[in-house]
Amino acid sequence: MSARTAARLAAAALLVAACGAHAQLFRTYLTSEGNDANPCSLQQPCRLLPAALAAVAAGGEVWMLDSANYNTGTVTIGKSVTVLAVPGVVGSIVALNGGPAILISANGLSVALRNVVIGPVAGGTAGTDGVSLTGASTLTIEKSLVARLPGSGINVYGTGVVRVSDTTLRGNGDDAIALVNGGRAVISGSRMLDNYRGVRAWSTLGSAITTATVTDSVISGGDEGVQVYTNVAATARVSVFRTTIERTTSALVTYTNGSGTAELNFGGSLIANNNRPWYQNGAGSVLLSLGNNQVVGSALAGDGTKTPLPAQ
Amino acid sequence: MTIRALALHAAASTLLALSGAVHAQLFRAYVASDGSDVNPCTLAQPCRLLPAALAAVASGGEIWMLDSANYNTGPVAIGKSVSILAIAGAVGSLVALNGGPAVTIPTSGLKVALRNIAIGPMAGAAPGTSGVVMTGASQLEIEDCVIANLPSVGVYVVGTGMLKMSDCTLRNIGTYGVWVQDGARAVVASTRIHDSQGGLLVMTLSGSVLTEATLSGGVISGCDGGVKTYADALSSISRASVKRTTIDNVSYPIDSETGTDGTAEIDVGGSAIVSGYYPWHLSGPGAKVFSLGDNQISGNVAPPVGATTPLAPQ
Repeated sequence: MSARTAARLAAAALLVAACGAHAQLFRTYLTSEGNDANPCSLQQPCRLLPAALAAVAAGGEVWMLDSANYNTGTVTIGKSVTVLAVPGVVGSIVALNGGPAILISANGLSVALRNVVIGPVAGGTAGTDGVSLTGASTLTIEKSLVARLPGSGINVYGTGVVRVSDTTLRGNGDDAIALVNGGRAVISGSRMLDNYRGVRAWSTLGSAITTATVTDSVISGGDEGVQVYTNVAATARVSVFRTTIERTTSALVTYTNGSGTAELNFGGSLIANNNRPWYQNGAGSVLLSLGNNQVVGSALAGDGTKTPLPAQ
Repeated sequence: MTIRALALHAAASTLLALSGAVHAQLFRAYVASDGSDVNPCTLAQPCRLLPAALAAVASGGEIWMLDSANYNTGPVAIGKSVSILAIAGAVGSLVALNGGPAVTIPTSGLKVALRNIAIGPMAGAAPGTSGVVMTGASQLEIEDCVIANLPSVGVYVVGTGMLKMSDCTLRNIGTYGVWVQDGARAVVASTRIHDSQGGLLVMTLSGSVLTEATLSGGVISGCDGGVKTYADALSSISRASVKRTTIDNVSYPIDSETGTDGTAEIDVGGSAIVSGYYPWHLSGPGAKVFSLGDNQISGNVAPPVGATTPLAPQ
């Protein structure tokens, strides 16, 4: 036996030992020709995402190897995992039967979705949201498409955190990204097109701090670009930086019913061709402008007060 | 075949033969999920793992990962100039396991490029440490890569090596996404660093040494530290320049610190620092933060610690 062969066998033994010790795979695989009775290995891939999630170790990865749809109902993710379609294929996950495509209700997880496409099943019973994050977990969505859902593209309720980059959210019936009562989001290099709203940050429970940052992104079409709202002694804040908001009814909306703090700050951005560039109303609501924004082509003037935010 | 075609064919064949004879190595080596390391690492007979391809490729050559798979079983030491890439449409995976990094570059004078590579842990195995560790005075380019879920550093460069990173995502890193130290230099562009202990660390612990980095067009979010410079040696300098970068939900977005000696500088312009704790933080006699005066700073919990110095636009 050569030294190289011995080394390869040792490496293989290591991999087997690692798998045997934990009885789960560090990476599981899905294909359109897979079978959920398989172990979800590269040689024997599974067909649907729940089987691959059951087979993968916490902290592992699920790879979709060819273009297909990989669920038949809401997929509940209960462990830290990265789910990705390999580049060049469409890894589809649908929302149907009155539920979201993906639900993350557990706390303390780190979940990543990369290069996946989330949408409805035309002709089927309608679903709701694309991804529903109700646990205090962290979700990363990269290079994905979330489109044409009756609810929100991404819905964070509670203290979950979502990072969205290089992703398109379009044609969703509610918000592209909704954050309610403690959620946090960073949205970078993404496009939110023709949703009812782009980003919504609400705090309606006392002491909740709900925040979002939108940077280097585009929001186009729909009723509102960004909406920030509180109705209790809580805080909601959205920072908009180097972002284009165009062709909405109201581009920047911040309001309260008299309680809490609703802050919307924006800088280096283009607010163009909206019906109204901003709307600010209610004690505790504030719209802060860095003074270097390009605001053009609105049918109506801004409603409310725009406060200077000194550049530092 | 015409005379001209014959001549060209003969000349090309001779050149290739001479080239092969002189170097006895491939200008491009290939790995594939169904390859074997007893193969010559050619396109027709690819290898399975990266070390075999590195042994087969000529200095200055390339290694192509031809399909989606993992291509190592332990730390991969790179000892020659080489470009390693997964072809478009494939995920070229390297894992860090068994107490080591995924990739090491201990040799000086090399030019190494990693493109379209995913570096992570092997869930279920003994944990590794970092993604890439470069201790040699070499040049490393990392493009279009994902480095995630590692217990130590994403990319660590110590010594006088040079890192150029673009269009990458680093997330869930146990310490800093990018850590340069004691003479290293880094350019980090259009890169996202999320949910790690820190984003970029520039550290100098050796006297009369300059360590510096630029960070532009990126995002750092959900970390304890954002950009940190630290120096603690006589006449040492750590400097980071931050431009067009968004730092969100970070406890110490801009953090400049020295011990009793040294200078630690951060200059920042055209950036957003929002929803963090301190917008900036200075500590130590040689700590400085320069601001171009055009940054969007809002929604931070506490007031800054220390004063910024104006940096006049020119």
